[in-house]
Amino acid sequence: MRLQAVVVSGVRRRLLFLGGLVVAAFMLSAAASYVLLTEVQIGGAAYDFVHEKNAGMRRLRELESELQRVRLIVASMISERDAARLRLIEAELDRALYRVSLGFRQTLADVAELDERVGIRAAQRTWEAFERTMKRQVVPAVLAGDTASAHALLSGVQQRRAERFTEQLDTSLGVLAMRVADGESKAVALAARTWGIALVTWLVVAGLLLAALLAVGKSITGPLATLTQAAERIARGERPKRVDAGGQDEVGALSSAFNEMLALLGETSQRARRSDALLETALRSLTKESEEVRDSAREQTASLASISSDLGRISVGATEVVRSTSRGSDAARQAAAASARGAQTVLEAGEEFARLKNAVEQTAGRVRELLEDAHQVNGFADLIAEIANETHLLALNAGLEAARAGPHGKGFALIAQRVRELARAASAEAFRVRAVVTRTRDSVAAVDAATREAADVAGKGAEAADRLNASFVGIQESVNQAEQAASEVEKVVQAQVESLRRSTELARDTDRAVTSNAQAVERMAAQVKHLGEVADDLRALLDRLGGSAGGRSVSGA
Amino acid sequence: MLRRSRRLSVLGAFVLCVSACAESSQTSLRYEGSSTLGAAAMPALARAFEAKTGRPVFVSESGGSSGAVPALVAQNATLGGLSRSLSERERQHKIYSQIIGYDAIAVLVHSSNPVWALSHKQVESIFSGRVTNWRELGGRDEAIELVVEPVDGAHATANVFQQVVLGGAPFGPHVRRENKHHVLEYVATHPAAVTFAPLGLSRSELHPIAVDGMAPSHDNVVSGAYPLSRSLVLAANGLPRGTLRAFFDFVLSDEGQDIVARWHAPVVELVAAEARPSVGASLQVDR
Repeated sequence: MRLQAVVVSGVRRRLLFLGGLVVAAFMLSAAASYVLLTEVQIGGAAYDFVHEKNAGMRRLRELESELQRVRLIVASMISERDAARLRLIEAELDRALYRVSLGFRQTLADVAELDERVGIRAAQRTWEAFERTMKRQVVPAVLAGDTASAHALLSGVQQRRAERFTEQLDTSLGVLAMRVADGESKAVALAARTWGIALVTWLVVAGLLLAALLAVGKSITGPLATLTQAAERIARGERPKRVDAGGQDEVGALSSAFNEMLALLGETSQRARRSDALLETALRSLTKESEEVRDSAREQTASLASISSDLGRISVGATEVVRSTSRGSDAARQAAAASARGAQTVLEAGEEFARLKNAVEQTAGRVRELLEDAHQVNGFADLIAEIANETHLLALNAGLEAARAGPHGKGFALIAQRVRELARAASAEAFRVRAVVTRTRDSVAAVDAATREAADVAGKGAEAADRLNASFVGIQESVNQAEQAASEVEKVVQAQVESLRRSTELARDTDRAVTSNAQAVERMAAQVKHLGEVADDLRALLDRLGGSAGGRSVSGA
Repeated sequence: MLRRSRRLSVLGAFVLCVSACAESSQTSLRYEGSSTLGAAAMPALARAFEAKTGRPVFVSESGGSSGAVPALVAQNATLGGLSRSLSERERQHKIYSQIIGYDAIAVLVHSSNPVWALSHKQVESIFSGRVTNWRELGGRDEAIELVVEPVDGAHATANVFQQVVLGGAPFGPHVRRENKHHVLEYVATHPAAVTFAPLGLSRSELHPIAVDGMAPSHDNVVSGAYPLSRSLVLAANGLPRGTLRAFFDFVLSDEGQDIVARWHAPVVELVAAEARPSVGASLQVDR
């Protein structure tokens, strides 16, 4: 929901930005349009100006030709003899003269500039004199048939006036022509300027829009490029703290998500490093303990061997006791005379019992030690199982984080998977160790019980020997008793031998269990070593992930 | 930084030079051409213009009328003066021209002289010395006294008159006076004397002769009816702008035309022109 809101606000911001630029471009083009409109108005004025001057020139030329017409009309009047047609020609002359007067008035109304007017005004005055002479002198002379004076006037004064008239009009015509040329060149320059303004405006607007597009594009691609770079750096093994890209929009959300991922990655690697340290410690202690277990197993084997030999010796002793007992019994049965020897033998048997008891007690003590060792091994197995569990959990977490990290976490996920498998193997191995140890403990407990029983029996044997010894005092009177006791002793000894045999068997079982225990421990040590290698891989991966993060190697632990 | 400042300084120098050149071409004008204009009206116009605007007009009359357009085209001058209208060939140089007045040479006699009108031919015969008595021309029986200023380069009117009236032939026997004022003074005190002078210099003791029936009145001079008249043309290379335009406007203004009218017939009708003691004002010119 929050992201959506951010996205909406980002889109709105971008739209506002684009809208602003479009408005700016619009205002610029509006201003340019205004300028261009003004230019066009100026151009129109220039056109009007040229048009006006051209009209003035046309009128002046018409006036010039009108003068020639008047002269031609008068010439035709001179040669005309028919009165009626003369009247018509005179009327035509009047019209022509009137047209010229009107033309002057119109031209002077149109032409505003002083230097244009001066020539026209002068020509007008010349024309007035010309017209006056035409009307007052030339035409009456023609009508009166005085063609000579008419000709004289036309070729003299009127000719000079006509020339002056043309000269004066030509001056104004020249000025107007220059104004027209000037106006035209100005109009051309104006048109060029207008086009220039239009072109520049177009370029500026196009540039503005292009810049807007580029800016908007960059505001999207820029942070993405930054993020891509950061991702590439992470892939290379560097570890940027955080990436600053984007603002409050979707790109910003993306970059903040990226930053979150980075933080998580850092945390994961830290956690992994912590568990790595834990693992290292555990491995070290495990190695040490397994070595100790191995040593103690060896010791156990040795002590078991010595127990075996002791038991063998006890067995021999017991056999000897049985033999001597039977001997004693025989002697008792045969002769009480040998009671002193018998008492001696019983004493010896008592001592033998005491030694036996001692040996049994020693064995019992060793068995207890073995039991304690087994307890300890069990404890280590528990610890290994715990560590394995924790590692498994961490590996699971790491796998999850790696999955969140996407393609960049794939390698990490693979390692995590392997760690998890190893943890699972270690856990299984620990479980097996625990089972073996439990079995060992059970058999050791059985040995302990048997040993206790043996000690008890030895104690009872000693008591019986004591009692026998005591009964040697009254051996005579209690030969039967002694015999009975001897057989009793024999039975007891038989039971003892039996129990000793059982004990020896159990000891052998224990030896086997201990041996398998030692094998399990060896396997476990190998597993631990493998775990160390995996931990090395994990550290290497962490080093790549964490960049600056360092750690001591656990290989060889 | 150094290079940039150097470039800036070069640019600055260029701008200064351009503006200075533009300034000089804008503020000061140079006249070249017709001596008729250059000797009298132009210096007066130049003084008045400088007094009015503070911008000097340098006047040179070495080239004469035909030197005006070449000087303008070569840009040796900004103003050209001609005492005739432009020829077709001169017009092809995009020359702006303006008639600023008309030069009329009046034939002047003592006011007591009964002769008022002569033909162009009669004028020629007087000044060539073929006619020597006023009686031949309908006047009193008096010997004609020709009074002429020295004919040299410095006196354009005499040259022009000689060219126009005599076709370049020498004057007949005449009384010589150093300048126009002395010439006019002589005619004013000698009833049989005759001379020629620019229209504007006439005095009340003298009256002009109508030539070919046309008195040298303002209208007749302007309309060309009076034969001894020519247009006075001021020309420029292209449409005048700035100071040049201001000068043309000044010359065509009443003030400028007033100055022109001291020596010549102004092209613009002046309100005061009718009141002026014009040479032909009192004459019945149009029959």
